[in-house]
Amino acid sequence: MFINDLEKLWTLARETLILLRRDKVMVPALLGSLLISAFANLASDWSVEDFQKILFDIGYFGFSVTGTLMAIFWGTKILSDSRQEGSMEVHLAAPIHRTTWILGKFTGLKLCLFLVLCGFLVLWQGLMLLNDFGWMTAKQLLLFLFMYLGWIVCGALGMAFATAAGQTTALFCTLCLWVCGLASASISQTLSAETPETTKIVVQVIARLWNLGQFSLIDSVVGTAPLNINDLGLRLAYGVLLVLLFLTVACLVIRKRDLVAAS
Amino acid sequence: MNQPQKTREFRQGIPTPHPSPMTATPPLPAISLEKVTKVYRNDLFKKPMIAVNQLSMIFPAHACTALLGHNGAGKTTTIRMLLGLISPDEGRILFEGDRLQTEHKQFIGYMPEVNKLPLSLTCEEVLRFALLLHKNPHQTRQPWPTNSVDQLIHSKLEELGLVTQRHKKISQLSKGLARRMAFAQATIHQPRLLILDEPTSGLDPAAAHLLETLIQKEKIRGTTILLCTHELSHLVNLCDEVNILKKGQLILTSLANHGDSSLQEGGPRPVALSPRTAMAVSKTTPKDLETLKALQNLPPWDHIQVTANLRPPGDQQQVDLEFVDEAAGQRWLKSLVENGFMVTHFRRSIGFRPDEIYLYFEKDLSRSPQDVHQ
Repeated sequence: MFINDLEKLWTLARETLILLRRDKVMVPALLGSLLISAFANLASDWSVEDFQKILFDIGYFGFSVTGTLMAIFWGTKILSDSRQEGSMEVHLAAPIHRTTWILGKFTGLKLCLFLVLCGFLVLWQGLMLLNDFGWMTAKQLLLFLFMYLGWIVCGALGMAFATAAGQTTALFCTLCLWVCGLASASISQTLSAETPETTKIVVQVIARLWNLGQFSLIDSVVGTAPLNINDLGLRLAYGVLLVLLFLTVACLVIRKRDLVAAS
Repeated sequence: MNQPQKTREFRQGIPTPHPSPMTATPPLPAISLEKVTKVYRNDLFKKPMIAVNQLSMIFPAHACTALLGHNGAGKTTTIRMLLGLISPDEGRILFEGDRLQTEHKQFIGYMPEVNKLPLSLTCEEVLRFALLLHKNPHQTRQPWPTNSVDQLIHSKLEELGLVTQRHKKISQLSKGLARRMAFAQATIHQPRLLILDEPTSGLDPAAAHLLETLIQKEKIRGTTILLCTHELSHLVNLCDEVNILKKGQLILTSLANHGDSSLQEGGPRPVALSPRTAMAVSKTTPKDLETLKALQNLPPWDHIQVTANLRPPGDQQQVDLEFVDEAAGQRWLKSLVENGFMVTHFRRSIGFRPDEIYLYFEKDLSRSPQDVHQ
């Protein structure tokens, strides 16, 4: 039974991968990342010092934002499109559990984001070679792998919203939460002394629970922040737990819902 | 859970003769609904909408059963419940005697009303994924062997005349071709039960005819077909049985003789599909028509249960008479000949056609189900 479900999950993942690979957003996203690389390279060339830091800051920020937006967009789109086109109805008329369907779609999304990551890594390596920085180190590779984890978290969040709402609503909510996740830690750290205690507690709790800064190792890779294995493990566990949480929500919602195609 | 394949052998493409309405043994239902109710409560500010109300229905195996009704009658909700896409609030759905489970959907094929295939996949990819999402019916616990998948896809594309479209994306297909693809996708895994929702909607006559032929082929193979349609020609050409829904309730079924008697309690009006005699009388004169009117008072007029096609004589040049009771027909024929009528033809047919039943009960669709039951 389990093997059977895995086979179906893999079939759905392959189908989703093909659909996303052919999505109209793919080419503009890759072109966008190319432009970001070019811009990072130019900015690095124009600067007088910290060439590598500037290259990393701009390049990493650009790739991170592009990837996250793609993850959010695709995460909401794969479910909304399935509902809109009605392919969800056709899929679930087959002997597939709804949980398998969600996980299959998520696996497809992960695979496609991995392809995007590979594209970014190739671009980045080209950029590094162009600037005589040599091959990427393990630390730099980790930077991109954690960035990928951040994308997956945002993709799963988008999917969780898309199971309960239409694409526009899901996209809006996910983008809002993404911005919150990016800003929560900074806001928590910069609260003034006059801030009421209750507000402080609320902000700090939010910042601990929802902090997308955990997936950015940029300070450790180009800065001076220490990077140890325990810290990496905690960040990884945090990411995996968030993904599991969002997927559980998505599965619970879709199991309870009546599935009626929009058309 | 009972494995459905244990209760019945898979067909393996062997045509199973469809039992005629005259067969004494009731056919085993492929799928049935027992007092199923579905209420939509989507809008907080609106009254809950009862889409299906205490609906009991059976779909006999190897038969093509039509599900009819006006828009909003509950047909699509019923289909979605049969597919497990929405769950009933009350009642249960049985597939070959067992409560419907996800695993049973292995044996169900579904062709939705509008094309719901992913537009950016090619025809081959659509069929490949559709096949891989189902188990291999011949070796229920084994996956499909790669060569068998390729063969099945090729033969399906060939059967439906889509070989040249193999590598085309769904978005590049015409509406007719896309409908054929949807049919291919619904039937590639050789289902036992095929649910077709408005299969020819929006197609030109040639494409509609082709699709009708394909459905006919599936029927000959022994597939149980549930056809949701507004096309009366489908009822004539394809359907053996007919169920008519109104406001989520069954107001008419031709399955009265096949079903569980409990289904009939306070239920729809049963229509007996018994033999009938039909006559066409031509060259009538006004005097003849008066005689004919007088003849209508002859016994056994009260034997006629359904007079769907009986047109009282008027100014027509031709009068058609139809009888449920064959003996009554014979007596009528005798009376007509004795009274000097010219009988152009006299034929015996096996029962009322589904389209006749639908048209006859069409007027009931504008009345409430309670009125119809009285």
